[in-house]
Amino acid sequence: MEESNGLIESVLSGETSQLCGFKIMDGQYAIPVLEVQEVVKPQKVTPVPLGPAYVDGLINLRGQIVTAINLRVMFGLPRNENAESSYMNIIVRSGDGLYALVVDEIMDVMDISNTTFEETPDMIDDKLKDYIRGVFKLEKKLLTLLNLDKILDIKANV
Amino acid sequence: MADNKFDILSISKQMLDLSPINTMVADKTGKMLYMNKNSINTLKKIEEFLPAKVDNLVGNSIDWFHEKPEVQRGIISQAGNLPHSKIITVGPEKLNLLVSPIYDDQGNFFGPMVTWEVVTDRVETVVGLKGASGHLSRNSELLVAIANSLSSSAEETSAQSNTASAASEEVNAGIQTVTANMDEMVAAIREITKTTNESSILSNDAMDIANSTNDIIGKLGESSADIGSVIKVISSIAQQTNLLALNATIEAARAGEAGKGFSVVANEVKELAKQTATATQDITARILNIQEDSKLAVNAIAQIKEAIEKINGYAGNIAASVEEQSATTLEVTRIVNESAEGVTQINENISQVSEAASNTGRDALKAQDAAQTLGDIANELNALVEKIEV
Repeated sequence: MEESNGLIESVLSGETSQLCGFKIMDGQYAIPVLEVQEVVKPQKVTPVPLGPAYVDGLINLRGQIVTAINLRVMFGLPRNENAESSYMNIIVRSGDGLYALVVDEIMDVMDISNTTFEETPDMIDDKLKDYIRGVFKLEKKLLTLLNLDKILDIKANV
Repeated sequence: MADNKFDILSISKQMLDLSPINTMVADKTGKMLYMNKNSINTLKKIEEFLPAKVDNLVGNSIDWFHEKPEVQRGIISQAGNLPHSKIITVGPEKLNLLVSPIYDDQGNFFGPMVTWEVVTDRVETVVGLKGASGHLSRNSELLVAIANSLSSSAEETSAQSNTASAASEEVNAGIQTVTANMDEMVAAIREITKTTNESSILSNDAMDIANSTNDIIGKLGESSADIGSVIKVISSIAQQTNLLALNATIEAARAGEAGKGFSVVANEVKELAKQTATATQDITARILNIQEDSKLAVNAIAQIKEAIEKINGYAGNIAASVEEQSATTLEVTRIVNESAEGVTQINENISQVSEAASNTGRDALKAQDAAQTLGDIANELNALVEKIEV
């Protein structure tokens, strides 16, 4: 936790943040690119019984087991039922484990000036507030910077 | 002298008896005294019409010679009345009598001598001749009138045939015009037929072309569908390339300074993948347009085919109408030719009539002359007949 927090803070402490952006419904989100191992297209998912609702299941990625976490479900948004294969997996490493963040669409790897960063506004829902580190004010939109450690602190969320 | 005197009497008696002239003598009172032999013979031929037998006439009255005996008696009783000539009728015969006075030795009137002859034939001939010459005269006048009438009729005929000739010339000119118009019409119909056939051929060609165009567009649709599936493959490759480039970028970022150059390449690859994606979207849109346009083209071709079929139908109608028109024109031409022959015939006939009228005119003039001559002759004949004394 400390280490990971250190990564996001060290990113924000520089002039620019190199981020991996993605979309969930109408929202645009990002995590530091250094936290991303790779991006893969939809894989065969093996469901996990008795797991939390936002855990879609397990993926066998080149022999390594990856836990698929559906951010729509985690954020209290409706599942994307009608588009079976139209989603992407962002593979991230946390501690010894590998996780796949199930998102609607990958945007790109972006270099964004940290002068546009602002801390999380107070009016955002507390439930969501835990996952959010802050927002970048872009020209026409806001890019929400997610706190990956909070998201992956599965036990705390259960 | 005495011998002589006697001789003369005797001879005179014989001469009188044998004379071929019928001679009878009566006294002043009208009693028949003598008839010569010729008289007896002649009277015997008409004995049945006489009041008494010929042999009984001598010594009886000669009253029977006249229808009014008292007038006759008056005439013959006075020598001053004689000679007297008279034609009398006995039965069907006409007798011409010449009553001459006979005197005795003292020069006193003794009685009438009647010399006579049967003139029935001559009288009838003269009467007939008179009638015939009158007839001739009247008929020659009639002939003059007829010849005049004939002459004027011939002139009238000549004038009428000239008028007819002019009229038939006009008809002929009319027929020539009709013939020329018919020729033009036949040429026009031939042209229409040719054009119609050509248009039929063209529309059949157009139909073939429309059909093959339809096939081509069908193939175009298939080809564009094929392109569509190829594009899907390309699109999928572009997505994968994009993903690969994205991962390469992530790898480069993780490599820090060392990955900078790699990052540039990865970005370029990503850019290319995006361009490919844009291009494939563009192509997909265009293919959709092509497919849409193909459908429109197919519809348009169907309409073209319909129009061509209509044109074919019209061409068929035109062909049928033209055929009818052609038949009618041939019929008209045939009738016009017949009319032309008829007019030629009429012209010949009019010429003949005209010539005949000229001939008639000349002949009528001749007939007029002849009739006039005949009239003159009849007049002369009349004058001559008037002069005939029976």
